[in-house]
Amino acid sequence: MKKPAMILVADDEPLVADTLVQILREEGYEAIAVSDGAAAVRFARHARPGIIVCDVIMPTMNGIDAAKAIREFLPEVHIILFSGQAAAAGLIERAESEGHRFEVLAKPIKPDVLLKHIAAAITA
Amino acid sequence: MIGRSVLTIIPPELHSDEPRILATIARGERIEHFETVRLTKSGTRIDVSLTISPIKDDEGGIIGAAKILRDITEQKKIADTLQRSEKLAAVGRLAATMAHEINNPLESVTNLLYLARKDHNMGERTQEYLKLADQELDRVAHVARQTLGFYRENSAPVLFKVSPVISDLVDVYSYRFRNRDVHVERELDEAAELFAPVGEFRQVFSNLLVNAIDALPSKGGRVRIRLQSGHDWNGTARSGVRLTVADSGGGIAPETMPRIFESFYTTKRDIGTGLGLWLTRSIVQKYGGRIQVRSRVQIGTVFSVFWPREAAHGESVAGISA
Repeated sequence: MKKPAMILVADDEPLVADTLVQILREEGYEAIAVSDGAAAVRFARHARPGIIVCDVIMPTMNGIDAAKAIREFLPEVHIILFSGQAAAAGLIERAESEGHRFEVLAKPIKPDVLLKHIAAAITA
Repeated sequence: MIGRSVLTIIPPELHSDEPRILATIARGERIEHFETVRLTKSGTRIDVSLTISPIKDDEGGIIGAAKILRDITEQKKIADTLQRSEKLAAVGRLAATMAHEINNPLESVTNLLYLARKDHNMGERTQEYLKLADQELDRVAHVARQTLGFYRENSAPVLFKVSPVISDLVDVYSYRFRNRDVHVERELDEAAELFAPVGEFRQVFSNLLVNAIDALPSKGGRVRIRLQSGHDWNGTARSGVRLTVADSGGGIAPETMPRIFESFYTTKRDIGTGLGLWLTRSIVQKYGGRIQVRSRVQIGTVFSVFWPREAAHGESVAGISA
């Protein structure tokens, strides 16, 4: 199985982001964490990750706006949004009504489930 | 009514109001918009607003009273519905706030436990403790996702085998069953299929299962789960699945039975939200299904759900028998 160049994790909860990065690294992926949407856009422009795992409700710039911005310069990137907040559903629905499509997972998600999604994204 | 006592239209438990009303009129005072209950000719109870004015003669003596009764049953129903909606909206706001505060730490702990379990240098006993912690966390995560989070990934109807969904959930609660010496019997039709949102079906079964567990004594008891492909028990040709969750708990008192599907009604003082069965029935009804309950005090309770194979929004019935 071909592994992507890099997985970017964006979450404003440092412990969530750091533990996810550690899990991904232990699985052999190259992974790095950022703590808000704007940082995710900046980092994606610079490092061009293959997969982005992104929280939806974040300060400065939410995950959906970040995902939309990243897709403009990185159209092939696979974006997995994850959120534990009902408020995120409204944001995602609005983005979908504008024609954007995302893979969405509900927090809390078991790491092995997330890893399966990542593996599927790589082989897709 | 002419020639009969006014008490004819007053429910027996409110008869004591009448002397107080008469005393007020005798003092020459008006009673305005007094909300109470009266009986119709057929004996039906209706909510009324009562206005009574004393009728005086030329000297100012009280010689009678003029009564106006307004039937406010519909008005009361609307007000009650509004109050329930406001309560639900408040619960929704609370859930949204709680979701963020709970789901993020849950995600962190889930990840930390995953990392800890990867450490193969720990002893066997520690590994077992971590496994149990992980199982318990699964339960918390499941409840949090259902009540606080958003079930977006399961909102679209899909064709699925029902039996594995039931088995998975029974496994989630297996530690609780073992801990309380509960005997669980499963009779599952492996071929049973539904075209429905899995998350909502899971929520219905989860609520019935948790209720069954809560109905049992602190040790022992039996829960029987039965899944069959079949037809609606009302005699129509609709095909679907019948799910039965039976417990050998204390049963539901006959006076409680009419209220069990009401929102915010609970008999579980410390742990009940009063939303479980209300939500369960709402989901079943949304997909054109039916839910029935039979219960006998000291014998147990049986909840039966018929869920049509092709989910159709529409009519449904909740039946109760004690």
